[in-house]
Amino acid sequence: MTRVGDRNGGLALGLLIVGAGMVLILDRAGALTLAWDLAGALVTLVAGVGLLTVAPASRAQYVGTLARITRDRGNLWALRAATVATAPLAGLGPAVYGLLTLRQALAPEPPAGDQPDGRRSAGTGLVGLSVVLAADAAGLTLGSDALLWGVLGGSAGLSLYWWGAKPMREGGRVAFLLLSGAVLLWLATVSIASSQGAGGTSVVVPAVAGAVLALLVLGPRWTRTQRELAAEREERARTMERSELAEKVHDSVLQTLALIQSRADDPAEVKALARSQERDLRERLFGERTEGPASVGTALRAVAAEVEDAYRVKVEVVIVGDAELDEPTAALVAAAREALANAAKHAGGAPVSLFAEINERQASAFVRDRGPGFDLEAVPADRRGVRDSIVARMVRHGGHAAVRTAPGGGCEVRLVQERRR
Amino acid sequence: MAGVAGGIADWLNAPVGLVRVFLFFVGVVSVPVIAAYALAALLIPARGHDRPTWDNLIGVGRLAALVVISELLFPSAGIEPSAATDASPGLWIPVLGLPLLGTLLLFASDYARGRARTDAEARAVVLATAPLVAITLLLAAAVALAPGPRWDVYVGAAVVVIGLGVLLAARAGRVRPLVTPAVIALSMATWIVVAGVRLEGGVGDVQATKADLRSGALVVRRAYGDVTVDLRGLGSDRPASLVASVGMGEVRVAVPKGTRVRLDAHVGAGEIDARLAGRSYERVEGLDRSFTLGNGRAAPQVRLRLSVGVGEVHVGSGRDYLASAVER
Repeated sequence: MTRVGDRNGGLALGLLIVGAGMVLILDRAGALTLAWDLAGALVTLVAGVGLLTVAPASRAQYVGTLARITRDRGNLWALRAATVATAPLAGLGPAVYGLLTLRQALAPEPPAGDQPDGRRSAGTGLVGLSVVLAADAAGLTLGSDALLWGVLGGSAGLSLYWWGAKPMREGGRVAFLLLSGAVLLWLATVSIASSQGAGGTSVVVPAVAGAVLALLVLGPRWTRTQRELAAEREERARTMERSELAEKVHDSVLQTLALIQSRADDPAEVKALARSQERDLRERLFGERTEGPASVGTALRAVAAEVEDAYRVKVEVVIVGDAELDEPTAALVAAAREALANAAKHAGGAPVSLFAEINERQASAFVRDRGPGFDLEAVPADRRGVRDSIVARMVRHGGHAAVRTAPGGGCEVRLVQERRR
Repeated sequence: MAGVAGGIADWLNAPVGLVRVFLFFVGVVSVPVIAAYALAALLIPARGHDRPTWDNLIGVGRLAALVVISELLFPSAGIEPSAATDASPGLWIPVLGLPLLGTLLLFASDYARGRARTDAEARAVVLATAPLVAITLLLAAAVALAPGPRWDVYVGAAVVVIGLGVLLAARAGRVRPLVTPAVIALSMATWIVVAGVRLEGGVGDVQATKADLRSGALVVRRAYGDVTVDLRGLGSDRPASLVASVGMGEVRVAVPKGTRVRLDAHVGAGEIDARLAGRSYERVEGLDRSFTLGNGRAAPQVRLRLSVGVGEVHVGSGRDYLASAVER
């Protein structure tokens, strides 16, 4: 498996190592003296090229500004060259690059393409570092040591952050944490070293730089969390909408279908039921409701009348107080309708009563029947009336419902909704 | 690192990290533990194998690399990290930071890998490392067996050979496994050359006294080891001269009290500490440090020219200047 990148990188690496060996020979022969700092630059360069040789070629896709710049391959190399060349000037190039990658980390969609290989990024970083080290040895840097290395360390941290912000392979997280920790440690050491070297004032620059860096690094993480949170909330709202629709269908369509079955021998009745259900469904689905009862009291009376009509039972209605209909009380009304319908279905002609009290603090409704009652535990799981349409609906809208029943003892449904001030 | 800690942890039913940390601390103080670890890594077959494989050799090689790197960076008498951080980051990033990072990556690569090496891969890695190991062993053997020549001159040549090997491998498209050993080799060679390590005079500790002076002069050289010279009791009427060089290790000299001494000392990486009579005291540490120290204005009776590549130089008139080297 021979790749062109392997070959070229390997050739460059071999030439570099041969050259380095020559330099070492010359040093021992006394022809030149290789100082520690230049030697460091040399080793860094070879290590960087070595990493680039080993790393698989990756097509990291950029987004935002970087995507526009790097669309052209020539520009990509120009960007790299400019970044490295301006690095000794108080870390200018890497700082700009780091800020551009920050935009990358903030992008809502991770860019398509391969995950940039860590070795490749590290190799590029080492090659850039060797340039800075060589410039440092030759005295060609701009800015104090603390500023230069602080900015470089910060930029490296930002770029690392971009790398870490993307989905990572297994185990990558450990390496990311280690490297981030190393960069932070490095920054701390730089600031300590510089403060020892040049008195108290120079502590301020690295400290401020560190604070800004922390903000820049933590910021995107925070926005991403916010974005995920919003998405989750939206998803929950969608689920709720779905279950509400299911409830409405149950309240109206399924009940009407059950009624039609039981009155199949009376065509006129069936037609009337079907027509009223059609009208009702249209209203619900397409929002064609022309006018609605404006108060809780009238709404409760209306549902009581509906149930009377549909099930042909007598519903005694007592309502104390009244209030404007809003979302929570509308839920109360809908739950009361369901409770009334249940009572009418199962009470076997026994009278059903609705008592409601609405005051400033709460709205409550009691639906009672003196029918045979039932065993609440014995209700099959697929019968959704009590659980979904009454209890769950009330809870979802901030209220609660209690069902008290026993075989032979009638049934009482108690609905309570706290009212907003 | 070679799976030994994992095996022990399996056997003890303990967390592998704990075993690693324990082994590390025991290994730092005890050479036999490192040797036992290497032997275990070499001989115990991996899970699912019934005899040692190429993978075992990789584990041993990694252990050796770690030992050599730590010996170069933190020899018992190496540079203190604090001394290096006094200098510019431009100096200590490559000198301390990069090798540390490399060592860290060596450890981390196991965790990041996620799957076992196949036999073919392991074989390729071992075979790629073989030439480098052969060159290193050859050089070490030459240094130990032939004390005469200055072998450090050939370190650069060895690097050139390795570079040519990389070129050949790149032409054949098989450079991949060679990269890491080649980079490690270059780093080590650069360390040796830049620190001015003189690979001359063989391996081992030397102890000398005034009785070893030949017509008032003594030259002691060691590539690796400690040189201890006790000149106390030397008559003040006889001028003496000592030249000592150690590649890696320590030079400790006790000078007679009340004599005029002239000291020229150099250390590539490490520490020089000298206390002569008459309040002449100097101590430096770091990279490429040297100084000249003398007491008295008249011509010196004792001349010392001491140089250490990586390690320490200690000079003084008291017994304690010999203590550390003698107790070993």
